[in-house]
Amino acid sequence: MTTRDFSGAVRATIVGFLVLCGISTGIAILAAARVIAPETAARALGMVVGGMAILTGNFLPKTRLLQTATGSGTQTRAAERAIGWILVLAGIAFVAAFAFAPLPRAKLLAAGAGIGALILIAATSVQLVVGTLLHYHSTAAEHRDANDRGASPARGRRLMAALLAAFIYVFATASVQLMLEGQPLGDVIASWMQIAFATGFAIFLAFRRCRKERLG
Amino acid sequence: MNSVFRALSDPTRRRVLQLLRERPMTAGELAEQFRVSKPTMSAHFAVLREAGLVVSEKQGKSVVYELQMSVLEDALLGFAQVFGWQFRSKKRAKQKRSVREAVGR
Repeated sequence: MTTRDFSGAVRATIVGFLVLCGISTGIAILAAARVIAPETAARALGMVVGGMAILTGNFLPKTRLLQTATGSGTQTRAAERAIGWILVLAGIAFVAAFAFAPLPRAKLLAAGAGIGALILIAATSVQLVVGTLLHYHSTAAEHRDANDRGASPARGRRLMAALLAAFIYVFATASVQLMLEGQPLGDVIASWMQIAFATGFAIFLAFRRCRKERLG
Repeated sequence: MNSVFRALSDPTRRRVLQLLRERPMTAGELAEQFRVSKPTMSAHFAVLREAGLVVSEKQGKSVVYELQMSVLEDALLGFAQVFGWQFRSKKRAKQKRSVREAVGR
């Protein structure tokens, strides 16, 4: 008997993402056609990015994405909750900044919140990966246990993992661009971030595959 | 969402969720923490499962419960814990009032 079902949370996240992507495309088209002012478009896009952060963070603990890579230990569950909360709070900060603050200040506030959130997420992830590698033997049993209990990545959750990685990239790029707006350094950093994220995601996939093979 | 509010309205169910925050537990381990009958505990577990706040898996003879809450549900639980919030639907409140009045008569 099992009631483990992630489809509802995954579906809600994907539908939410598609809606927000549709809204951002609509805003971009309206801004290009000069139907709405550039300032209004910037504010609306900032709020959409915030909405995406809230959506992703909210459902992250429910979909158990990290457990597919690091096992179902207490540390993984705590990390999932922490990252979820960090993303939701950063998203709220984004939405609030772009809704209420003057635009130049809103950009700085949102960038600060975004970069702060990303540093915290990176720290939590590093701590989790190091903990997983150090406690390999105990987590191996947990991972096997999780797989036995049906926690291995289903197609929907793999899609969700790709979505999360894509969102983190968008969120990081948006935060850096907001911080360094108008400076040539911003574009250079954005290019390097693209390479870093592609490499990071490849390493994550390799780590997951390697771990899966070692655990059988 | 109504099922989530209903699940969080009961102090026993909130305590179950608090216990599951620490680690996954079997139905027996959870039941030991409360002075209620097994059928009552089963009913509480069913409400939590129905709301999607916990997942259950059978391992051998025991059923293991594990937390499965979104950040919003986590926040609602914290809110309910702090304010001792009791959710009651209008219909249930009306029913309780009519029973009280009938007993009073």
